[in-house]
Amino acid sequence: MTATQDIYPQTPTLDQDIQQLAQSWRHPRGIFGWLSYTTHQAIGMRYIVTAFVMLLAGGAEALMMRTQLMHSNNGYLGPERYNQIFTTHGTTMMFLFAVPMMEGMAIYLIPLMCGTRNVAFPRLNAFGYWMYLFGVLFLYWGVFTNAAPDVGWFAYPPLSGPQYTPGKSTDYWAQMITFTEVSALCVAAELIATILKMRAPGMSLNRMPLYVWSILTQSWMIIFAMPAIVLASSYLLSDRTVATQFVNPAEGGDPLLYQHIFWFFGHPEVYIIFIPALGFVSSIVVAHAQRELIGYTAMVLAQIANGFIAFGLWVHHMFATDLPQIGEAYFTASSMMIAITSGVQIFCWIATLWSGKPRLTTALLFVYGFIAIFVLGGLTGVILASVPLDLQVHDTFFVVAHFHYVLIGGAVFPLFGAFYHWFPKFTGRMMNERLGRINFWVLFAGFNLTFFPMHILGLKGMPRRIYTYSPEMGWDQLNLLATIGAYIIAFGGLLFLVNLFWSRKFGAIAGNNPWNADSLEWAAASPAPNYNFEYLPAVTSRYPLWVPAEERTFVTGTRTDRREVLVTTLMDAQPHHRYILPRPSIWPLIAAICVTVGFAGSVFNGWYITWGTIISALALIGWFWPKRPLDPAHD
Amino acid sequence: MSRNFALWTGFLGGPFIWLCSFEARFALAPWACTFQNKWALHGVAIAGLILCLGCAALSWSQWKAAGEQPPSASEGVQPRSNFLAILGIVTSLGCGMIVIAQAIPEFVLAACE
Repeated sequence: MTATQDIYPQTPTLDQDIQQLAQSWRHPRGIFGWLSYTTHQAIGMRYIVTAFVMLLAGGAEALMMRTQLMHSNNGYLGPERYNQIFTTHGTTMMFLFAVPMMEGMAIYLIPLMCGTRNVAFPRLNAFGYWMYLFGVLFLYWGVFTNAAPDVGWFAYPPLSGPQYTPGKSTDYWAQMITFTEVSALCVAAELIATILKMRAPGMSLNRMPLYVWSILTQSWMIIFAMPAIVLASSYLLSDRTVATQFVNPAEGGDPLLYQHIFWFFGHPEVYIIFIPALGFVSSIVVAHAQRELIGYTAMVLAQIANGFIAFGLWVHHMFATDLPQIGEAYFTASSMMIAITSGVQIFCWIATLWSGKPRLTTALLFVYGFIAIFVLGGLTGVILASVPLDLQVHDTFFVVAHFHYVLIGGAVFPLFGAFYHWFPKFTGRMMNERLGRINFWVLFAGFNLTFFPMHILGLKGMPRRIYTYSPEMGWDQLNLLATIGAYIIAFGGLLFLVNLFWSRKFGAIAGNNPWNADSLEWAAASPAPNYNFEYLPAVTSRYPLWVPAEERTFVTGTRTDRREVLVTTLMDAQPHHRYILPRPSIWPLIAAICVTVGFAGSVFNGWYITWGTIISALALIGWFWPKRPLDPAHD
Repeated sequence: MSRNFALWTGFLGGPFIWLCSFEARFALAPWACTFQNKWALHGVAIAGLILCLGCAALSWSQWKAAGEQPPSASEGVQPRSNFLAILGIVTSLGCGMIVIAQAIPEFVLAACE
């Protein structure tokens, strides 16, 4: 990599470099400074912590539902409250936990894995986080002011229309969507730019870590899928607030149009959550099996194919509507095809583990749990892809069991594995492995005890979204089992929290690379400093940290007295030019507040869109106002 | 046509064509029922299949131009081109397979079932 070593004729000593880097990348002080942070570690961790709080909230709501369904004719929750709880649970888990959590992990890890110092657009990153946080507060403000949405996480009209659901609860839901999707689009744009243009020199497309491929795929999916849900929720909101006629059948609108648009987003959403988890699994398998991944090309292919095919599945959520059978059959075919690409990945991981020397760490245990649970969920998915079988179990607990096997097995188990795997990088300390193993087995047992009986309940005809049932139905015992399982899961979550806080304070010091892992994030100190790397790394292998230390190369000559990064070419990651990232700024927060005034106010009065647009434009002028001198090192 | 453009076309063309053909057939399904005629569905499927195979052929030609090597993590334009060309071949053939799988119901089901 000699071409990378003379980009800028500046050769300070290492100590000077580090001091200058620390100075250039230091966080501003005080509460005002804290609100101005733009480093990817700070923003990523804010996403992770906020999303984890949402996981706890969604989990508490799940416990309330399971308590209500524990036995027949239970009076713990009334029907209205139960509707609110299951709607808020689904909304929280899908929009406020799963996607933002995956984004937070990516914001933290992608610049490290790509060997750069920050994401491409740090202020946009901060703006995206504030929008997400305000979306969370907006929805839960409704929940705590007795205006919780009660129309399901998909809010189908006509039930969600003004005739059947008056009041503001559904408006809060619909506008919360806009907040979170704006946030998701910000993150997707900055991650795509970071991955395509800021990779370490030498990290050509055929050397990108699979986690980076997974985030690239996910980000493109967000770009194409999220506008659909913003459109659907805007249709619904405008039908409700200004009496438009898009999806409200009472006014001549088409509720099926809403379902099409919602699920054109809704099915890819599952893969938006699940594909990053596949990236976690690949990283964990390689690091803990201590060998190169078998079938790298097949894995990249399968991930990208999953990303495309995910857009061809949406009607399998609508088999019970009056669509032409030939049309439905297209979706059966593509729903079954996606099992092939998912299967390819499972076989590649198994082959890698089989031929490696796996260390049975907690992270790898979660991967084993993922494989077992996800394969079961995939099998019921193939069942549900068939129109006649789907119609038999449509809207029953069989479907609830299926999607929890796919989403918890496919995303949450790998996520917990990822926490155990990357906790040393986040904090500099190891998580307790003994407690971790107990944590895994409690979660695994609790999960299966909760959700496996739901398959049988569904086959016995128990519908979803009912707040109680009569004892003659014969569903009591299985529901009791499921409720016991839910409390075991909650205990598993508590164990994780205990491990987290204990390890944060007392865990063993991790060092840079405690797993002897292969990817670049482990070349940085633990926890990673704001500037990530003392010298930007250059890459000569797909597994750069498994190259002997004396053969590793790095970039010299970039300036350390300002927030400078290296931009590389898209295909081969050849050095192209230097790029100066902006300093911390309060303007992303101010802009997010202004946009929030417009979004939140419009639920009550349409003129807030106008006022919100004006003040948002003013905030953007402040955001982009040039500073003197123009060199960001001095602003 | 530049080499990179050909590589990307071969790689992303197959999925794009599959999505277009599939959406077009889904949109045409009510029309096929109204007119009791499935030839439009067959026509779109055949066109989709041919175009997917065309993308596979384009990727194949790029793979031959890049030295017909198996995928590797070696440095340089050739290995990276090989990698993208092989992705293109398999993706396009896979998409062609999905086009065929989705065409099977058109032969099994009546237009208005």
